[in-house]
Amino acid sequence: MSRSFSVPLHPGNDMPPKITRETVEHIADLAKLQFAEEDMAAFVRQFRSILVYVDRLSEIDAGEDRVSERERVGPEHLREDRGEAGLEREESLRNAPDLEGSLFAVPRVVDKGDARGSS
Amino acid sequence: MDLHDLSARALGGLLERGEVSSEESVRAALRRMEAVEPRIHAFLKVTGKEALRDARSVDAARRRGEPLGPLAGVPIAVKDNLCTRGVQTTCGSRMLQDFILPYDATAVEKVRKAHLVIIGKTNMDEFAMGSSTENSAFGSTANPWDLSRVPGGSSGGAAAAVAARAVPLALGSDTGGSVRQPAALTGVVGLKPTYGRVSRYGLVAFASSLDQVGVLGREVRDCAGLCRIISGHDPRDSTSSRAPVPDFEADLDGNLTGLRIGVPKEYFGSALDPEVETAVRGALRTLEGEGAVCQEVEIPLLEYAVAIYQVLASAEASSNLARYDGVVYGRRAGRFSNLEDMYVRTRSEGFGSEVKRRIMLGTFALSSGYADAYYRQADRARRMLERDVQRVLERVDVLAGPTSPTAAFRIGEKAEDPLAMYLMDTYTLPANLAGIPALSLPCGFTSKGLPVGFQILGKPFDEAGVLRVGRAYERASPWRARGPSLGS
Repeated sequence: MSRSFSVPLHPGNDMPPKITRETVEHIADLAKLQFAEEDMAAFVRQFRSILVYVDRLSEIDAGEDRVSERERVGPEHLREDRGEAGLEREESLRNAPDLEGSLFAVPRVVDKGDARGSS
Repeated sequence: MDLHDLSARALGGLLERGEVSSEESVRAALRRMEAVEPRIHAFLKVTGKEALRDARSVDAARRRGEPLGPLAGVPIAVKDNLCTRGVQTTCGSRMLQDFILPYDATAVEKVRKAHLVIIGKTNMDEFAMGSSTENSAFGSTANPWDLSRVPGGSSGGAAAAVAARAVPLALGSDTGGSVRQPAALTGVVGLKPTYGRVSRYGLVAFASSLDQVGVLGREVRDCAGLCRIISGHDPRDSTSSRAPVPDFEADLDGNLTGLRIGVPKEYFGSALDPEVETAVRGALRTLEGEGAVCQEVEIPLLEYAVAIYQVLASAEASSNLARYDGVVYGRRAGRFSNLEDMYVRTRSEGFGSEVKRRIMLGTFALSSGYADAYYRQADRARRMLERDVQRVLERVDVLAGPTSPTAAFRIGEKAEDPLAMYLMDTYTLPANLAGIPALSLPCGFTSKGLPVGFQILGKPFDEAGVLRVGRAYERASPWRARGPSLGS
């Protein structure tokens, strides 16, 4: 996803990033979401007000030299790496929206012509 | 006194002495639930048949003389984001409307092992994102003290069920205050244990570095008992701690002489409702009367807690919720033109607006060009806040202040203003960001008769200390005796 992105880089303490409809559409694209046309204006407005609020984070002097990336949430103890019985296949398939035999079925992503051309 | 009015411990005592059967206690809970549910809508699923079967099997075990725990046969409700074998786990979302798992969450498994009887799954904000339970895809829950008001959230159904005396205990989850804030708004006790104290296995993930299973009850002792049952290391959650689990009740009635209470100045800013402040200051004076010494402390970064939390929790949510793509489980859109379209339609139709808002904020905060200014900056600020909290907790034994800046607000009041809703969590977020235990318990009422919550925060893994302070306050205060009107 290398679409050009016309929003200015974070501008500093006094101005939150400019949130336009285009920004929202780009983020929605990344998040695999879409908004109904009638909801868009309200969403852009709310999103902007939330970003204006969280932008106060830029006031905190948290330079790289003072604190590094968080490491607290690393696993405390990893369990031994050995095989264990997991869910039965039938159980793990039970909530699937669509199956073909014992496989999760999704819409075709490669058409027959493409498949012949590759591998 | 009716059985449904009893605390879990009192009911457990009657059961132990054979004065009441578990079947009777579960029938009483189900009757009470049926009477109050049309007014409060606390439950998404009631499992009456299974509950009576489980109750009879506890009674049979007791007749055989098997060793049973002190809460065996006591009814309990479970928030609908904790997986329950064979019974729906919807997370309050259309996305998981018909989702039935073949296994129990570890906390649920432990509750069953201690022979408590699950009577149903409770309503919640979708994926635990919210502070009012209005974000449930299946309708909101009403506050038993005033049916036109919210019960708080996201564990609003669990809190309302406990407040309305349908159950003496409930399991909830707390990512930013989702156990404590609804406990405060419904006048019950809510405990968020230390991060890592309780296994998160089978708790549907929202923000994995903040999520923790918590407990709600009407009395501190009941919460202490239930917390002990669900605590402990679990090989299926590598972030669960191996720290020993003490008997949280052993010193519950210990006195507070010389106990140092830090009162963060930032918890008493302009956002705090004056009536809430009066009740909380009163609670602090009561604790001083019990021998504790209060001192003001400063944690300036608390002013940034909401901003730090929103960025980090949303970022984690955006990756955790990427799994809902309509392939392996959960909802799939009915119509789509190709795989990409299936993802987009499934997610856009399946998620409610607050969940989409958080996914969008999180995706933005992690996106190229913004991750440094938002996600990494919030991450560093969280570390600084955590250190500041730890430093203060070296000088005092616990921190105390309000749980929520206001009492319960009206249903719909903040629906159009997500930021106003986020600010409701100002005082609960710090415990999640710092990973420390925190308890909310009732400390009075506003002039409108709405409950006010008092919060006690402790050192990591010192649930016992937090509970002891809570118990001392509960003993010295009259609030426990009052019950909600339920609109009548």
